[in-house]
Amino acid sequence: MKSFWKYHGLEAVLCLLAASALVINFAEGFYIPDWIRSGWYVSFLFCAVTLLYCYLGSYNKVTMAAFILGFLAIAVVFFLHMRAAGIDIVDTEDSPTAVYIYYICAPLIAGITFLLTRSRIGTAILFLIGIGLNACLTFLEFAVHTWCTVLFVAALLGLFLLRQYRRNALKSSTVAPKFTRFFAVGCLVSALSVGLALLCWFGIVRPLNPPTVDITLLTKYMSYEIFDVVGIAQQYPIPDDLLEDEATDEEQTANEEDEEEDEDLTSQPPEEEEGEDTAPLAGNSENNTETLSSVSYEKKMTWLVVLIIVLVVALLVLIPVTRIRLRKRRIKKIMRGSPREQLVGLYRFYLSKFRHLGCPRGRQQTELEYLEQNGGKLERYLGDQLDLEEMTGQYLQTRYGYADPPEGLCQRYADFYPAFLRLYRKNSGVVRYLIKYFVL
Amino acid sequence: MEEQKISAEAAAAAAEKINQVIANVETVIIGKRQSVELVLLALLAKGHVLLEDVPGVGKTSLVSAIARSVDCGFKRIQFTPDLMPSDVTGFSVYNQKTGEFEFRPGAVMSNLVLADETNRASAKTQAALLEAMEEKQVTVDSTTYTLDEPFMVMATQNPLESFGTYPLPEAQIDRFLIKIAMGYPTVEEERTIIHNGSKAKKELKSVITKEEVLQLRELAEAVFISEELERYIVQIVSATRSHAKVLLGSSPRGSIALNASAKVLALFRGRGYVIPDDVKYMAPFVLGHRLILSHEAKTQRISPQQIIEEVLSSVAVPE
Repeated sequence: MKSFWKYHGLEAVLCLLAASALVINFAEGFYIPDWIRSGWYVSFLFCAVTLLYCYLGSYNKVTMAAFILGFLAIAVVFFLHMRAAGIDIVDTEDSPTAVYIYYICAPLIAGITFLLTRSRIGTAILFLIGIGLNACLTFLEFAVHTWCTVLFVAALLGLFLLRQYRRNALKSSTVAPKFTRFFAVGCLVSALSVGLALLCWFGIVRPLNPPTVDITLLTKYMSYEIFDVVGIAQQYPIPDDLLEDEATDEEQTANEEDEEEDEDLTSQPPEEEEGEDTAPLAGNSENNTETLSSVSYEKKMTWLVVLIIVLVVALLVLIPVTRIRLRKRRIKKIMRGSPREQLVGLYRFYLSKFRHLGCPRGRQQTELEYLEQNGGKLERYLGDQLDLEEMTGQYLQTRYGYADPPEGLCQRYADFYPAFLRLYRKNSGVVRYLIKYFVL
Repeated sequence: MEEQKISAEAAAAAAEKINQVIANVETVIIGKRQSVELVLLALLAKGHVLLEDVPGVGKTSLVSAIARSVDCGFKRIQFTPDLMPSDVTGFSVYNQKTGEFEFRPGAVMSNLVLADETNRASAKTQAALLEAMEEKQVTVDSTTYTLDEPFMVMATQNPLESFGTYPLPEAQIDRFLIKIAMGYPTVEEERTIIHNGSKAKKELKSVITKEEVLQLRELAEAVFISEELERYIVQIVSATRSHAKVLLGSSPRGSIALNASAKVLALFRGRGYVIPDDVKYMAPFVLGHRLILSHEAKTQRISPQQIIEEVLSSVAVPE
């Protein structure tokens, strides 16, 4: 049991964070009391209890069977109680029993999170489900907590890294990297990716894409209509004066307008809007075409397109130039050292290039083992200009022995580099060469 | 202090000489080049060899052939339960003519000693031999006799029979530089063995003198080993101590042995410097018998060689 928790401790914490973040956002989509919806600790507690139950149950096959039976028993008792008490879980604002939908969904979400995070594929599926759920809630203008979304993404990335480490590193026949280092690097890369994505979203996509906000508004109004038709909510159409305000106020962002509308709409008495259910949308399209297009998108997009074109052109020019300069600089830097340092540096330089050709050297592999394993594969990229066997021999003699390499040998190896690139392009094709261009 | 370094020519000449000896032994011992190399390697590394295998695979023949190829003193002791420590080390007898005690050297007082079926003698007799191996001297009646160099013990033991045997304790096995299992020959090799008969054994001549062996030993000591490789050796040995399936890992004696044997192997390959491959090649032979495996590993029939392979695949080679 001790070793079980040792290996599952971090996983349990990450699982709890992911489940809690998902439940907190999910709870925003229902008319449940504020102390549950806003009190994150309630969701946290619900998930903790459910996950503890799941973890204890997953100890072995016997506990698994016992806990599944226990779960079924609890579910049956719960539903029997609901039936006996005549509890209706219709999700309306004034229903006192609406909270029961939370009691059902929160443990279910935690349970699903636990089950899906057992594998890497499951974790990826959960990621898609969670992100999709959050996107839906955001699209329907529910108050989704950004910190919960970020926490969910971070926790799932952590879980994915953990699974990846267990799957690859621990079962590897080669040297397993230290988990702390692996996890720290993985988290850093993930944090950078998430940060970049958030920056793109909040800095570029949202400010420069008002049509999306408009579509969101339209969809929300349509959803109100659907709720009205189904009979689970009353429709609150938009008053005309509000639409006029929107049309004239070009400086205000669409998102802010939406929030204001929410407040205004909920304050309107239902009696006043009878017979006007489709008027606001119809009015927008027929009478006032500027209403939902109050921002001139064409003007905004023109400079962005120009900027992107300039950036792409600059990158297309700068990257090859920089790459060529860096290559030359690296070779020059190596050639500045003593003959011994030159040979060692050049051998390592070529080894780093061979890694990108699919021939990496394992940390536990000796130079001769590497030669034996990859010498044949690399022959076509080296031609008759560089003998890897000779280079390895010279390297071993210099690195582990005490003799300096023969005069002119290092220069010959350094001069071979352009030929190596040519041979790679010739043998692998231009497409592959371009793909590997930045690393070779 | 500047380390003495050997030239490439000297290393190549040494390798040639060693190959001559190997080729000479191979006229008798067919298809066992690795075993021949390892025994010679132990001789040049100032170590001792334990040959463990089933009867009839050529353990004694190998040792005899090597002893004949090297122009040194050679003695053989057949270990039996009634063998006394004094039979190994020597004893003093009273000379009635002179009225004094005279020392009669034991079988261990030679350059190359074949201790056949070591596990058949009592623990006390085994201990007498092992003390001589470690200290390179014997003490009889308060007088210490230094053993003549080169001195090497080649012990054999049969792993199958347990009745009437006294298995060597792990602590004593640790004193052998390497442990070799010969294994059966292939069909073609076995055909050649029966075809040749014992004629080749009789015609075997020595191809290397005692002085040459001592020179080669000095040369092997001068083989250069970088600090990174010394660290690599220590890392390998340390890794055996922390392996989950090892009850007791190799001692620092294992590091010393691995270092010495890697140097000799480098000389065998005609190099004046050690490379990581030398260390990796020697590790299973030098460290395997120094490990005491856990009960779990024994029940899973995991061999020490497998553990060493795991260790080698987990320790990073110096970059």
